[in-house]
Amino acid sequence: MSYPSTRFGEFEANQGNILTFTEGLSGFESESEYALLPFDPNLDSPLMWMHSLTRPDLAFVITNPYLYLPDYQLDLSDAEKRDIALGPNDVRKVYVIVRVPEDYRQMTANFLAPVVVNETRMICKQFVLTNPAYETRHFLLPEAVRS
Amino acid sequence: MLVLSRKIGESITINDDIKITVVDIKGKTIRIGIAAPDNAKIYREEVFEKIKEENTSSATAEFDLSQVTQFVKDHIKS
Repeated sequence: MSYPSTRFGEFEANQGNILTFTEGLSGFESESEYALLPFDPNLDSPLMWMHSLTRPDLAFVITNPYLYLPDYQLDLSDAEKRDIALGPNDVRKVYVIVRVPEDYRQMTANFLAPVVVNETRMICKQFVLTNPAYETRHFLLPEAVRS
Repeated sequence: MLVLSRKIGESITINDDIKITVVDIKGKTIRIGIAAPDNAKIYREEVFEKIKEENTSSATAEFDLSQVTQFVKDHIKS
């Protein structure tokens, strides 16, 4: 099925790439369905789009946190696992939301509040970590590239 | 909301396993000690506001897609 987008005109989404939030993102509580889309169909990229199915203007850039912090610690409690019905045989996938400022070299991602996906069921939720090591604005690029 | 008065060193117990103690008071700042099970999630309230703001500012970004793609591709391994 195709959905309208202010960025792309329209995009295709189906069961395989539609994510459902069990609780909408903070600030976007009424949007629960998003499609996972390649960042740029012509180029291989570590970034992806998470595009709302219901709001053509709403899309987030997301990425895999382990590319930047291989030791990223994410331990969900049993209650949090239940929030996304994550059982021992389900596949867990983690994304962080990227913020791209005007000077895109300074892009950051929110490592304090990752989106954790139960990929078996394609349901997810944004969790807030209590680990003080993680910030809402963690630079994705090394300082040498940023300056 | 239940409102209780406590002095320094006094505590409040919630259920059987959460204990909140007033550790110190200096001017308008109160230091609070919390003893709770490891799986209890304890946050400063402001963190939720910060995450809401971060989500909002991430969603409104405008940038040149192909420029950013090329840049990221050059500097981050997939």
